[in-house]
Amino acid sequence: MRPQTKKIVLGILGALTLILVSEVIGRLCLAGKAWPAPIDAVWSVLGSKLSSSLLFRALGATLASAGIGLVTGSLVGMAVGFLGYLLPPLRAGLDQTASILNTIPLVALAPLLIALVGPQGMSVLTAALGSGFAMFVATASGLLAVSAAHSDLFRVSGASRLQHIIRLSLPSAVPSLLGGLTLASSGAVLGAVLGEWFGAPTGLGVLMISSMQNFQVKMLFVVALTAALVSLTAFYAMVALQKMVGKRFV
Amino acid sequence: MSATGISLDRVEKTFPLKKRYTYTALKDVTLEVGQGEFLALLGPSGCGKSTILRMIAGLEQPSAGSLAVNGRGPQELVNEHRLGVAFQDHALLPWLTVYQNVSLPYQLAKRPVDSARIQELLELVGLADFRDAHPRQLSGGMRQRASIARSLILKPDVLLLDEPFGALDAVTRRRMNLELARIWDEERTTTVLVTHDVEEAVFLAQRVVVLAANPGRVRHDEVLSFDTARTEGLERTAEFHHVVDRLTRMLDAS
Repeated sequence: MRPQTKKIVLGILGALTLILVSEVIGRLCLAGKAWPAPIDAVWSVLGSKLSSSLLFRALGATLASAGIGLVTGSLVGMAVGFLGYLLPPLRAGLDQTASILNTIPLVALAPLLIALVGPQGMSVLTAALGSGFAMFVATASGLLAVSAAHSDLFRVSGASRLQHIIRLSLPSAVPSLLGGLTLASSGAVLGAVLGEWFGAPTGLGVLMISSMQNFQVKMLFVVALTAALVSLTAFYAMVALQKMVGKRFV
Repeated sequence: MSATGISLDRVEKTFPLKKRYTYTALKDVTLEVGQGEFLALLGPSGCGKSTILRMIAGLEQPSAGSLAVNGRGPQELVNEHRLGVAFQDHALLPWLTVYQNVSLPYQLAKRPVDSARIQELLELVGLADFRDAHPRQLSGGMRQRASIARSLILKPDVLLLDEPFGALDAVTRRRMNLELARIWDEERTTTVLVTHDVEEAVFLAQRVVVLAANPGRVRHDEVLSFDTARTEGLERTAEFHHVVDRLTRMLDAS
């Protein structure tokens, strides 16, 4: 067996074992009523027309806010990172502001943010915050990742500042930007779910809160599972993109 | 000071170390490189030979003394896109193909791309079949050849070679030297080669300047003239070995 195949097989076996063990614990109620049997939970949620349509509608809403948040957050993050690159005196201040914004717990910022965009806008905003910070860091560091030899080449070739930016700094930043995108995409999904807790009308986050309050253990489990799966899918999609495009730039 | 070629007049270069301490990399270097001459700067590592090259390219400023290329400051040559440099590290852009890399100087100079000239140079360096390959798909020797083609593409007034084959194995290196000699015979550009390899210097250059280290200074200046042509087994003649031995002893003594 090739090492690669062995790794995949072992991974699948591990996941199956985990599912099976938690299924047994859930069915036999070994850990109380709050431990759902995974297969049973998925089956009963997807089997019921009402709960499955509820789940998919929530998923659609979350994906929409995550998508809008990812795009706007990335654009703003990249623009701010680019601004810091163009105007070095701003760099230290921008870095600090971004770090502070990112380290304050969202819960502490929430009242301010709600006042700013209203409860409906929260999920897009938190998704944008999650992805924006990653893209800001990726842009700021990526634009400075130009090799000294390439920089010398452009100087002795008499390149203008604009040519230096377009033909050297931007392409040199691509690997870093792709790396940032893997973090930003999963961050946007989690940010959207979190933002929905603050009073969005629909979404996975809303469904999570309501099933928690109504002791819908199975629903809560499936919603959490869906959020995790979407986030992982977004992450691996970007990793694949990184592998496909990124190797051209290093 | 001559109006053509490169001239260094009592050039000194110091680098600040800690506060109040400076390191003198070059002291009192006076050097003239004539129009169409191939000069090799030979010296042990740390003698400042790359610093001289970087100053001629306008990447560093002399701390004292004056330096002129064709009677003017090096930056003017750079601004007119008349300088070609092949770096120790090939410095090809990984996201461009060989053809695009070689045509980059045209774009940076905002001149129309002369694809016939690119094709001709790619053939000269033996990369015509690899024009659409990316640098990562090429061997080390091929990358250096592409880098040399790029440095020659605009028919520069001055060509600077900073140990362009330093990272290659001995066999590839000898072959590259032979090719470089052949290319130079066709282009006849004013060239400064920096190297610590005595054979390479003697084989390629018309004139060798030996530098001494700490502080870097000119130790010896010698015009080479051989009866045998470079392409016809110069490096196997007794005369060649005699010169190499003498210069090697000089390097060891410095």
